[in-house]
Amino acid sequence: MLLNLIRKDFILVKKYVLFMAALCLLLPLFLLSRLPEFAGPLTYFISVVYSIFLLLQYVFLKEYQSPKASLLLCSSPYPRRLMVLGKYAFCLVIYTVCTLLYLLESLLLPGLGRFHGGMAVLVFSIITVFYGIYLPLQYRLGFEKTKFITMILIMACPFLAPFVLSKADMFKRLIQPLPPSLFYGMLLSVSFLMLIVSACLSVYFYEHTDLA
Amino acid sequence: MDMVLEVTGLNKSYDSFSLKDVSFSLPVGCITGFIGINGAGKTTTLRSILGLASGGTGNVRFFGTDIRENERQIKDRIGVVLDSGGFYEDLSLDEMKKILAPAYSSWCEQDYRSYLERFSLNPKEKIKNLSRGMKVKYALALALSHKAELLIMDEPTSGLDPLSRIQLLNVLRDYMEQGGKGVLFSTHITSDLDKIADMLIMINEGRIVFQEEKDQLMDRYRIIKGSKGDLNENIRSLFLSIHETDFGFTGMTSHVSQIQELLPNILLERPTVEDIMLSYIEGGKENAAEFN
Repeated sequence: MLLNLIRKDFILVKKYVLFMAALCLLLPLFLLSRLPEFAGPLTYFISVVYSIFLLLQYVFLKEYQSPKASLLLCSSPYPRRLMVLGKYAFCLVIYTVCTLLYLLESLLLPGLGRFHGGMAVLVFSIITVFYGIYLPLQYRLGFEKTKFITMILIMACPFLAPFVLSKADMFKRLIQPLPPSLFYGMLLSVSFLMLIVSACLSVYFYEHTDLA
Repeated sequence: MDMVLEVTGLNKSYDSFSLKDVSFSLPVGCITGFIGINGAGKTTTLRSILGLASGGTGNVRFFGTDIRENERQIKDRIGVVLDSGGFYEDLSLDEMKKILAPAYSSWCEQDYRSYLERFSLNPKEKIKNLSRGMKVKYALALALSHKAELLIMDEPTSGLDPLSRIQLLNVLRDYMEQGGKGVLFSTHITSDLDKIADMLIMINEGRIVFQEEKDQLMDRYRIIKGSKGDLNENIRSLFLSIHETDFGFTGMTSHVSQIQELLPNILLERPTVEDIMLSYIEGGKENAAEFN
């Protein structure tokens, strides 16, 4: 059933899936030709974040535009819990596909640098923080209000970035004594934990949503 | 008699509306019409029994099992037709089917194809290009293609042309002929129920007004027309509702023989389901309870 619900989200955004895949493939090539110093991990990060954000937003937009379709699905044997978990799995599938595409490109284009597991873990952690907050908000507040909050967050990014970058040295000093495998292992564990908490919250919110 | 659905003490409150102690039951082999005016609580009741509304209280048992105990297995045996479909409009019929079909353990592709053919629906057509009648037919095709034992329909005939309504009623007749099935059919267009319903449940202002076999109900009530001068307080109290003009009166009653004894020169007419429903609403709840 979970696979069918993931497929459902891909059917809803089918028009944009190929476009996003093309973007993921072309973005590293474009940056490599124009701004080679920024090609590499940054393109990987951008392609993952953009792909998940745009496709997920589009799924929620479609669901917002057809609220009775959710009623019909909830009247069917699909449990609400799985419908929520399907969204998390949908994001994970996009993350995996983007990672594989980037891995493939990094093998073909040496200019992108060597792909290593740490990059995948770091990007996974960043998207977990963002979507771990975004998805429960979506289920609690609905599409319109969450869109508004997301817009404020995106607008706040340029103001928050200098503050985060100013603290980068402090983070580095904290991390440096740790062996990389321990650091990435801890990061991955914390990310998974956050994902589980976020999924539990989203399930709770959606199961208590009055669809009548 | 076996029951496909038993609802007991269903309560659900909103700011301006509430379901109050809604109780009714649906026997196997019956098409049950769920009637009431707009805003009476039909849709809220249907959505509450399907578990779509949260925060309600009461017991809902499908096929003898509490829905909270085994929601997935119960929903596997129910077909649902929502008013205006409930589809992703940008998808084609086949794409929507690909989303919904895997949820059902007894999905029958052959049945689905034959319903599409019967309704002249093109599986490649976009849902947004379908007329309202076509959407209802498609919703029925989806609801009937997984061997559903109970069909719940919310205002399926609302906005349909007479031909589409007849076709829909014919599909329901064919469905019931398979045996062991039940239909709960909410509508405010009661002429459809005159043709097809076996049982009627009426709801008004969130309360069940009556549940009765349609034929018994129709036999019990008569529209009475007579001279205004014949009316007195005693006779008035025998009517469920009464309209008076300068020329005479028209009233609905179930005390036909009693009135005939008191007023020999009256005209009797057989009412429609709509006449009875409107009389209950106009007559008020207290009067309705007395007549039940």
